[in-house]
Amino acid sequence: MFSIKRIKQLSVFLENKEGATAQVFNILKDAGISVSGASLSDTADYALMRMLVSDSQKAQQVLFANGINCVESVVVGYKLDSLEEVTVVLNELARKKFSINYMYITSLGSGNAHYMVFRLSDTDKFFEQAARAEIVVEDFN
Amino acid sequence: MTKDFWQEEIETMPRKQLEQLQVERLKKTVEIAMNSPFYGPMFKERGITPESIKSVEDIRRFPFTTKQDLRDNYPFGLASVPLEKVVRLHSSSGTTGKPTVILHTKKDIEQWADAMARSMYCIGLRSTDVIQNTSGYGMFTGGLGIQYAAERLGALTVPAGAGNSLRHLKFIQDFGTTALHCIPSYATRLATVLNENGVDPRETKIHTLIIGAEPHSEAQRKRIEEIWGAKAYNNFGMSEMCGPGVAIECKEQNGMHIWEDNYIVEIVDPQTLEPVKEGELGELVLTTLNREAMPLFRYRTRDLTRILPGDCPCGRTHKRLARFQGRSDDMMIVKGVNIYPIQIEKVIMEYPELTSDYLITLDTIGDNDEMTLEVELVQLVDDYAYLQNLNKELSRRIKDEILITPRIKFVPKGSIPQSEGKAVRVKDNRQNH
Repeated sequence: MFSIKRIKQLSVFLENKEGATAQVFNILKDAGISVSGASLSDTADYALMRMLVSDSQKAQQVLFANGINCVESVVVGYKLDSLEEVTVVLNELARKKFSINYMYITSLGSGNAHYMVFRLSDTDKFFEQAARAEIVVEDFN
Repeated sequence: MTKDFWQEEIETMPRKQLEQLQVERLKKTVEIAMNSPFYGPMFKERGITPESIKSVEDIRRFPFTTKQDLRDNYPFGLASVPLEKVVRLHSSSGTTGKPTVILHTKKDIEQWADAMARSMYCIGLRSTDVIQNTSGYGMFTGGLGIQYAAERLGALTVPAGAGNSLRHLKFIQDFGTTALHCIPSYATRLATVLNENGVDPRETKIHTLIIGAEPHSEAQRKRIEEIWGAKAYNNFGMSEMCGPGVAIECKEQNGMHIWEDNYIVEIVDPQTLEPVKEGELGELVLTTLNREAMPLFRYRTRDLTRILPGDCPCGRTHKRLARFQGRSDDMMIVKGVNIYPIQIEKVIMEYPELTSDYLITLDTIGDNDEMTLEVELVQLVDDYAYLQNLNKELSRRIKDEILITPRIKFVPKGSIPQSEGKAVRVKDNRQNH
């Protein structure tokens, strides 16, 4: 059966200039916050860096204090026992008519297990259905 | 019955009679200014004497006066009275060049206080009010100008001065302040400080804000009124004319009545200096009619406005100036198009997703002018599609307004530097500019 986690993800707003990403990591490091996943995409003038951190609330505080804007959202993490499972999960989501806003794969910093992390069109509905199917959902952070 | 006017006879004077009063005061002002080393020889050369003035139209025989004239004759070259009669001076900062100085006799100070008190009365302030002034007390006229006027009105006046928002907050609470005088960007900023300290601006006793000295849009006023739960009235003044107290909106909030017993108002084309057609946009030109230390004739204010047509339901007969459309010298020429920052500001205000702060940067890329517009997102949304749509829509709306497509840059809230004085809106890095 699937192992699913409910993850608090931080989306950090970055201006497109040298050192912007490094600054975020330095601030988190200085605050003793560990980063277990990150995904950065490029745009012309700004970027949203999605991050999984050990203490989301504290991370928001220190980033805001340094003038860096961020927002927390809840995403879904699927544990992958093998890479074949990627297709299974994606097919299942398509069948249930969930659309994926974005996804990335990360280890969540725990052993060798990999997680697919999703932001879905309707995350609340996803967790409702999981509850109804009596699938155990653990909180990651 | 409650009294609606500070000086009913003057404020509601029939136009014909008002113009007669202007002619009389213009004659008197010419007589005074003949003593000025600047105007004296000029009047002689042009045959301008008190007797030669028959109607308000005669103002067109006078040459224009500019800020440069004030700089060139710094400090006392435009004095029309001996310095022993002068009791105060105000000065511009002179950060962008030589400073300018405006002189006042005792009577000038009284007239000025009376005009601004009339403006305060016009927006419903009374002796029972507690008026807190956030303008700097010093060479800037917004400090002492408001102070004297509010005292003349009989209100309890709090000379809190510029900056130190936490102190303002304390005074608002401790003294039960009912009215604030501030520039529009500070009205927003101070409200933010109140909120950050757990005080809802709408829960204070403040019912009126006098805002001015900085161009702002109708949408910005509405936002200020909403966050403060108070009425905000646009007030116009400039140190050359005295200071605050030249014109103010009445309760109709539809144009600022300019006190024509104190000024002759003209609207001219900034290029040709010819009067524009009635109701058209142009540069405001003012002649002082009630000042003696340093009267100014046909002073080019650089403010762009128009006269609103028709009568005002409030009963005041003095002409109404439309909201200022920027300054004739704020005008940027980008790719050959004349653009004023307020045109862009107007569009930004339509978007609740954005704060009211923005920065326009002009660069030369290749041989072309490029405009970058930085705007602040009120709240970050983790959605590229949304941000891209907002970007596209905003740049299209701005293009509709100014005919040029700017590059839009979203930045986090609070990252555009806010000054407690006038906000810097344009950075021109272009070569040959």
